[in-house]
Amino acid sequence: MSGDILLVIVVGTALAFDFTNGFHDTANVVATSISTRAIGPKQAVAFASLLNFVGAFISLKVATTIAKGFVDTDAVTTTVVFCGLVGAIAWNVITWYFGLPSSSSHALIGGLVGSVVAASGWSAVNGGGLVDNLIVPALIAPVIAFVAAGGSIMLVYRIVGRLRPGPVSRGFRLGELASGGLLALSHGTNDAQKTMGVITLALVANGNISASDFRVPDWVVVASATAISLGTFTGGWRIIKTLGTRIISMDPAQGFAAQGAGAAVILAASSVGYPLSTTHVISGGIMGAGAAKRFSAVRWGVAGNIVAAWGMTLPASALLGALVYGITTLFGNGVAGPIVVTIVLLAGLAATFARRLQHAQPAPSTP
Amino acid sequence: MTRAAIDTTALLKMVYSSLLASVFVAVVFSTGLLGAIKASDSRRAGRSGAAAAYAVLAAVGVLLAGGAIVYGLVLIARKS
Repeated sequence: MSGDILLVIVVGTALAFDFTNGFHDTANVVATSISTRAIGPKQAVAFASLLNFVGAFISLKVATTIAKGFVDTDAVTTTVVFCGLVGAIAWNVITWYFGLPSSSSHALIGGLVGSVVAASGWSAVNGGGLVDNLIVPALIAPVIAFVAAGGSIMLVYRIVGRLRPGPVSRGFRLGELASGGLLALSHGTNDAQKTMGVITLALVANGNISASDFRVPDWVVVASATAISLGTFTGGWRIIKTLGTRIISMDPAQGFAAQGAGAAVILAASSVGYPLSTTHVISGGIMGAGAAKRFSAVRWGVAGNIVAAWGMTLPASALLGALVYGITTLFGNGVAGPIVVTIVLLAGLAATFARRLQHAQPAPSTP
Repeated sequence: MTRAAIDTTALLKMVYSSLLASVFVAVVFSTGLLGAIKASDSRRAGRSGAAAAYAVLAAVGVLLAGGAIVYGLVLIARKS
């Protein structure tokens, strides 16, 4: 009975993570379209939210990688999954608060690895799987997006460079509706599956699913798709500003190239089961599209801050996951620890959001 | 901590398919856009033959871009 209560808490926490993932990553999906005025902010977010939902049903390979690729499933308990999730949510909220576009995916895997290490030691971590399925693709994917977007925009300028700029911009704004939609779809495909993988891992740990007959239940797919879609709809406006305008000011053709390259990389990665960071990839695409036009157009200082946030994500979320595991098990191995941590987490989230909303309100005008 | 070799086949597949797809779609869409703009200009200048030819180019470009996207999505969904 206590195992089932814990499972319910884990599934709720995983869906809350999925929500924060969508919330945090709204910027990745819509920033380019909004900053080039291809679509209004509200319509962009609603459109992205819908396509996030649809995208979650396309593939399940990433879910399998998350559930089986990084940690020894025998060492995973529902408490371990819970602590990993709380570590990831905490890191997502911290980076959202400071407006840093870090990776929700790496936060999730980092949190899970930290929690597993705290519970069972390093031997329970699949180092090869981490390098093969996470670190190498994470290093390569933004570079491919950079090259693909840069190459595309150079060819695009060769083809349409001598035409009147007005109709060209209008044409690419229409194209951005398609490339932005594709990016939202790819985001749903890759990111919603991470939550599906974690919930399935918890179901295996609780004995609801056999590890040898691994499959993602339909209700997990629907619940994960809904959570990420609602998170995207709620939106993370602070990060939109960083991605959409602070890296580079783009024209619609660059936006089209950046989004197209980002979507192509994420979809190709999803098809082979790599859980990529959509934030890393689209940032690579934006920088590539900007640098190809004029290298100095990219604000490399801002880009450097983003890269630093990426580098910190895996170790920081792993530390948080381990810390949460330590705190949770102070209350024993039952449901008391997760219940106390959930209450503290909810209180922390409420305080953070309240503080952020307070700061976001415009100063009263003086007569 | 266990170690394993990197799956270069999957990695290479991700690299070449994403590079090819993004460049192909950008080029055919831009060509379609070029066709659409030139078709409109030709129509205004009274050159109906050129306008029709450019309109065909526009249609082919947009159809190829859309077709490539749909084909890619179908391939991914089928493999899962």
